[in-house]
Amino acid sequence: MSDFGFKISEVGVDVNAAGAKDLVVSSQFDTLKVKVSGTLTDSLPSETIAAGNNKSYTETVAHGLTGMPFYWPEIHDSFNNAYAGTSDFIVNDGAFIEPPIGPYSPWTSGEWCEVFIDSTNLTLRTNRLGHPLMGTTFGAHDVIYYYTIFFNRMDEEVDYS
Amino acid sequence: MDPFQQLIYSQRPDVQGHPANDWWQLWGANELRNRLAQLGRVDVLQHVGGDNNLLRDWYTLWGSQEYPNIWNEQPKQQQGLDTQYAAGGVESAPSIPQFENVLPWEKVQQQWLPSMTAVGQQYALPEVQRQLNKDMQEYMMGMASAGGGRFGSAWGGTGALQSAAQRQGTEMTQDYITGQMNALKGLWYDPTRSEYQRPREPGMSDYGAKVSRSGYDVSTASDANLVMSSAFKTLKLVKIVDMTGETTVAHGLGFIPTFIFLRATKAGEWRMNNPGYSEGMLSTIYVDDTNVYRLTTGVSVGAYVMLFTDRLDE
Repeated sequence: MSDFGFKISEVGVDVNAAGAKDLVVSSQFDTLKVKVSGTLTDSLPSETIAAGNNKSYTETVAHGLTGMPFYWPEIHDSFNNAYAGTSDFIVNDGAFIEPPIGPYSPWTSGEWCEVFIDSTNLTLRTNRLGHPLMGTTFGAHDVIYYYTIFFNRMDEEVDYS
Repeated sequence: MDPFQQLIYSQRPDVQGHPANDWWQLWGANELRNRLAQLGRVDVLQHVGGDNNLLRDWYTLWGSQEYPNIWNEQPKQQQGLDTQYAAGGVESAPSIPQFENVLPWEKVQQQWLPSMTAVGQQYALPEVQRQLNKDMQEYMMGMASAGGGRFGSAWGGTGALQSAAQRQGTEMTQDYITGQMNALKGLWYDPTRSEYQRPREPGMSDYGAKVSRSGYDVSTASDANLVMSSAFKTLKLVKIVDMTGETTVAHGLGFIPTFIFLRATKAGEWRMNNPGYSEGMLSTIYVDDTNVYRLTTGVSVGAYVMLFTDRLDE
């Protein structure tokens, strides 16, 4: 019982001689296993935020796992260019948009979103920042993040090699 | 000679000169049970239970066919996994269940034996009885005509005639069963087995494995409803490395691996692949074919890197 398992090689590769990179699957290694896919929605009101002020809205989902699990897609600083409008903003669509720089940077004004995880929740946080010099008006809309949480824990060293 | 007696004398010369049935009841049956246990024939042992006569029938009818001489049969040594994998044909072995697993030939025989025996006896015994009646009549007539004084001792001779008829009945029944079993195997079992196995023996050019999600037929499931398919690569996680602070870690893979990282912010929030621009620090994590690197400016926050066996550079 100490030496068993199974592996499947790519077509044309002898499974007995295949290196790890030539395997389709191997029980020696871990694979990403989906626990749940779902949606996090921040429902934002229409409002004007005074110059220099800011507000944050958060929505969380409890992942129910030990430690910090792997989640996808990665979102860092998804910026909603149309923050004044009423159209819903899909965070996933803006995941890799380069934010504007300068005085209109989303980190000094506008609406931008973050996704992060801890040992309890996956969190979507939407930040609304008023312009440093004037009030900023935001439209009522939903900010939506489609997520997938995996059973795989990320915050623990492993070595299957 | 009784078929059992003939068989036991030929396979066990040491029994010759002793009454076969007495030896069987006293020693032989238990010896055979031990031999069957050594050979792993639980099916036979379960079938015959404690019935020595049933065991004798199995030995005479089937054991003698399955083994050249069961008394000399040596238990097979369990092969190591490497030896099993190295055996010829393993790569093209059919997927389970094989036909023999679903319907073992021994099981077919066991289930058919009672009815075949009954039919065989219906076929054989009347014939034997007719012959016995005739032989008895001739014998008695012969004795009577030889003289009234000898008639009384004639009853002793009828026992021999009856025993001979009984042996003949057993032989005819066994011949009938053997013929029927061979016909059943040749005309039905073997062809059915062959057809059953055929689609389970794919050519080397088209094989693989896939697993569907619960509730989906694997043969018709779309790719999206497969948990795993050997038609596609699966990301295979080989390591998770703690990359807190500015550090370099040798991954030992020898190629540029796919990687994903989870990094803490200054506030202690953990984000996937977040380089940290938004909080005014740069936290670059990258790989080559030797190491995982982390360069960071600003505070030293935690990070974990997942490394996969799947190459990034091809």
